[in-house]
Amino acid sequence: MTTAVRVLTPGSINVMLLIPCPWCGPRDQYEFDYGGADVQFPDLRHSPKTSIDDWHKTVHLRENAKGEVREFWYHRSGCERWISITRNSLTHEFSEPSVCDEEESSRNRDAD
Amino acid sequence: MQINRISSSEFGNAIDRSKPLEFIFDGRKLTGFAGDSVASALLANNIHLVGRSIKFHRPRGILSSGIEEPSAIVECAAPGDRPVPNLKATEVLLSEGLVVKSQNNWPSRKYDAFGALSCGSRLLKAGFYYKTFLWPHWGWHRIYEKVIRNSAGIGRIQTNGPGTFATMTDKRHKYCQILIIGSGPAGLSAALACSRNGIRVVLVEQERNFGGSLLWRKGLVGESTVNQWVSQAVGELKQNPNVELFPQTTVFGHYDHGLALAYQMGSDNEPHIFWKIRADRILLASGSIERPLIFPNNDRPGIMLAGAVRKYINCYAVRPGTKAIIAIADETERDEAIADYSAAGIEVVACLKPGQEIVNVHGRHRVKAVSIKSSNSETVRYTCDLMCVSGGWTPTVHLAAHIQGKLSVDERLQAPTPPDQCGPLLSVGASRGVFDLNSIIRDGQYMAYQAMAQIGAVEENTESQPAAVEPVSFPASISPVAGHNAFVDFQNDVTHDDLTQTVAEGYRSIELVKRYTATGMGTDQGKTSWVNASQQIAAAIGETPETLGHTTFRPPYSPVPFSAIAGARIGHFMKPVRRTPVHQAFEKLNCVFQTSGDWLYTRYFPQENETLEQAVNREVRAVRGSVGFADMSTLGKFEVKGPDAETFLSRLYCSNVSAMPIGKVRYGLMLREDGILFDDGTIARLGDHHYVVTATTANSEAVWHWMTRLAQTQWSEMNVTLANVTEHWASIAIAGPRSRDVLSRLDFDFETERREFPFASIRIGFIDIDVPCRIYSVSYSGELSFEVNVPAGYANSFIERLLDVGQDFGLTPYGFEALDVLRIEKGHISVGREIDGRTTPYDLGLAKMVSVNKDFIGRSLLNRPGLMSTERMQLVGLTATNQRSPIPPGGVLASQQHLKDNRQDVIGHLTASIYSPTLDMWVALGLLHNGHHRYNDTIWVNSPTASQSTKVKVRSTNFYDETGERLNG
Repeated sequence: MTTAVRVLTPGSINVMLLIPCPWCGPRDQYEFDYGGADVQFPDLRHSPKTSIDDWHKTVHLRENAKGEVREFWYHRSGCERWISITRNSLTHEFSEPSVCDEEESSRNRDAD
Repeated sequence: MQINRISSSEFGNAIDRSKPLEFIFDGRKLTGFAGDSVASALLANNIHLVGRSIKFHRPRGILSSGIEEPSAIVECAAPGDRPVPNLKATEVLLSEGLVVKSQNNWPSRKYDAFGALSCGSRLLKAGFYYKTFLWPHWGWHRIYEKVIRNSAGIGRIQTNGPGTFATMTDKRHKYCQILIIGSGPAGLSAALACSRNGIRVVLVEQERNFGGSLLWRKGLVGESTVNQWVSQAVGELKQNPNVELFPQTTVFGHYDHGLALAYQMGSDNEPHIFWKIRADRILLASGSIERPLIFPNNDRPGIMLAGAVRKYINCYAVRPGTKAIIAIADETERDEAIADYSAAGIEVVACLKPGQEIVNVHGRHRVKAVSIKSSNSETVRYTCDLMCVSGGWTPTVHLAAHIQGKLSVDERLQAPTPPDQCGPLLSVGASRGVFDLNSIIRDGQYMAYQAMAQIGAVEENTESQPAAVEPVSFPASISPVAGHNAFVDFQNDVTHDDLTQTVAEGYRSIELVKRYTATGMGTDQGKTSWVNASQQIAAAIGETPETLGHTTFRPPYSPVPFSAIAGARIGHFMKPVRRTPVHQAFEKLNCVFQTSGDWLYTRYFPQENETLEQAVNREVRAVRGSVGFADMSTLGKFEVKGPDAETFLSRLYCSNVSAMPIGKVRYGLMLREDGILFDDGTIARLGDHHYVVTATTANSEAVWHWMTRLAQTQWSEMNVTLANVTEHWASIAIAGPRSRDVLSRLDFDFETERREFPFASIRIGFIDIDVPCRIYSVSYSGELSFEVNVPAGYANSFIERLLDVGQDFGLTPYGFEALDVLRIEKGHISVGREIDGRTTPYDLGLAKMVSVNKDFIGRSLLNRPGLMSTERMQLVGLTATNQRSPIPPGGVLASQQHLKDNRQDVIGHLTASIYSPTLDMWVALGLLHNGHHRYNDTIWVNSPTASQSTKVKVRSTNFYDETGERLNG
């Protein structure tokens, strides 16, 4: 249910998919951990504090769509970036990936 | 003496007559040639009877010549190797000294004790197991199951004894633009087309030689004979560095995004290889498989598929008999076969004509005669020693169906045919119903151009592209003859009557008929039987095969050894063991290690003749009385840097992290989004924008994921950088009232006095001038304690130094067993025990740790009424009312004493229970309904499994030093 503790064993036998990592190119699925649906948590920046309803919607009410789903993958054995990709849950077809965190990534590149 | 071997060298393109090989079959020494399969070598020695069938123990022979073989299942052992059971004799390549044994018979394949079952096959009908053995109700697990298991199944795995299992399998990855499966006419012609266009090609062939059916068929491709064409084509492909040819390789699974898994059998000291081939396009040129005919006693040894007999003649120079009866559906096929048989010196005794029926086969261990009834009801008995049958050819479509490809049953072919395209896979040649040789070759070219156009390697619709080829219709088949011993599935002993009866019992779905009768199951997966079966089922129901549909084909297409799937990942290589940096030093201290997760943990340090219990008690007393040290290196350690580091941490942890002075350490709790406790650890501030946090060993990977995920996907506006330094630092806890004394003997470049270095602080500096260190004054044991972090490379020398200065204080190493006792005495919580994925900070009595002044992950949902309820299970301490009584670990909490009744009124459960050497009594922690309001109540800990029940008193969780004075010592 919750995403915080979902860690797949590295080197598991899930090798089927070819995942388009925006940083590394297409890579086998066993380099990745699945991160569940791409959801944005309620914004903690603003007071008053976030409500139970906001969080309930994010945590419990998921689309579980038949067709295109937007989801997180963690490129564990590659660039160690979290990426967000659109996958068709019927056909496993991937659309072009988007980078989750342009801002932070460009900052890191500058730092390098 | 290989009496069935044809001496003329015109025959036998697969064998090398200059290399004779000796092998043993059921104790008899026999000979064959290099290139023989076990089946061809047995046939060369005139051996047809090779085993007994699974259910009725009927004598069985060799039906086919390849991967589809249902009957000739044997056990093989190369010299020095352990025997491998259930191999198809048609698939195993003969090697010197190979020991082959028949299976499923006792005492011998000719005189089998269970053979009597074959007479009673009228009684052992479909669904026999489900209808018989119903009473008495205890009979199943006490008697029937044992008897059935003993008589059922085929080979036996020998798990011990001399020898090793065959060579390890290597795992390799491969990328190609176009993968071509099968090297018959379709595969070769497609490969040539791709090769000439500069495509990166992998061509796999399940047999040793390339050419597929062309190796045993006759005919012309353009001007050249098929033999010349094959050798020219293979020669050309071998010249091209872009083309790789994998012989003896079976693609057994087709998965998403162009992934094909293949198993390559090694030979001549080559390893077996498990291939993971990723291709842009796949051309399935897997050809077709011949179908047997259905008639009474059609399973007798000596009855073979007509095409297989031609292959034994032409490829292996083996004449499986001398006088043959022929029953072949297709006319052209029949003429070609008769020509081949005559050339090999086989006399054709009779040939089944339209309107005739095979009514019986005589001979038990080998066909002796066949009775054929003419249309005028006159039965003639023909003497023979071989019968060649063919009911037509079934396209090999399995791989097209592995990723949800929808097959349709083609009326013209009477067999399942693949869709035009399934993902990146295109079927070509006989596998899509094109059977004429020159049409297949044109189809190979056409489909290759289609695939190349799809990946943009050639332009679409150019004139150089060959024209499309239409599948042809296949001629009518020979009608089946019913009978209780007319077999449809040879491997599972399913007869024509079984199928009719199953339908009569009300089964209509093809999936259910399959499962009820076991048709199409087993090591051959119904390659020869399935089409025949579906036709019979459809006829019995009164439907057509087209409307009946087909069962789902799943990987593997053909059996793959588990050793291939495991590859080199066996023993430690399956899951590498993680050792901490102090491992070597602790080994010298006689440490007993224990695996936990990936880690090899220090468990305890027995001195001579000490039991585990004695050692743990001694270690605990040393920590409480003087000083001990333990390895804490497995804790997760993460650096958090940047102007927004404090904000990041204050959202991540539910506890207060604001306004921490530099050099201060705080205990922190982390919640999941739903408010449940996730992890605990320390937060230390090293600089204005620099923190380092720890996570528990078990959760360190998950916490790291969580932190990076939040930073990258949720709070990307924050300027914060994370680094996982878990493995950079070795961490040693020095705990006990004398720990500061030990510290004072080490040479630090900072003060370690109490006033300068109080509880809950961190100091950064150097030990012995140049060894960098970070020291925490934090405690898990409840004693005054310091956690010294040194770079991993310094770990072992630091331990030596520590032992040296600690001598005077009786510094004692302690392991995780003792650490667990120490933390339970203090009532400290542990992941996996109290933090069990269901508890909140409130449940564990940590309400003070939840900040009310900020927003953080989990705050909102933690405030749901259900999680705030005092009726929840809450963490309490428990002590036995009789101080001597042990509290049984794993017990449940109840208000009454119960041992037998397992429907007891459970009001909670234990999370930990130990004997405390410090207090000389048993203490326990447990989650109890409304526990925080039940202090001083008396309840019971019941353990029906341990037959133990103990009366306990509820109290707070801290059993030792409740005021916490010792931390500051």
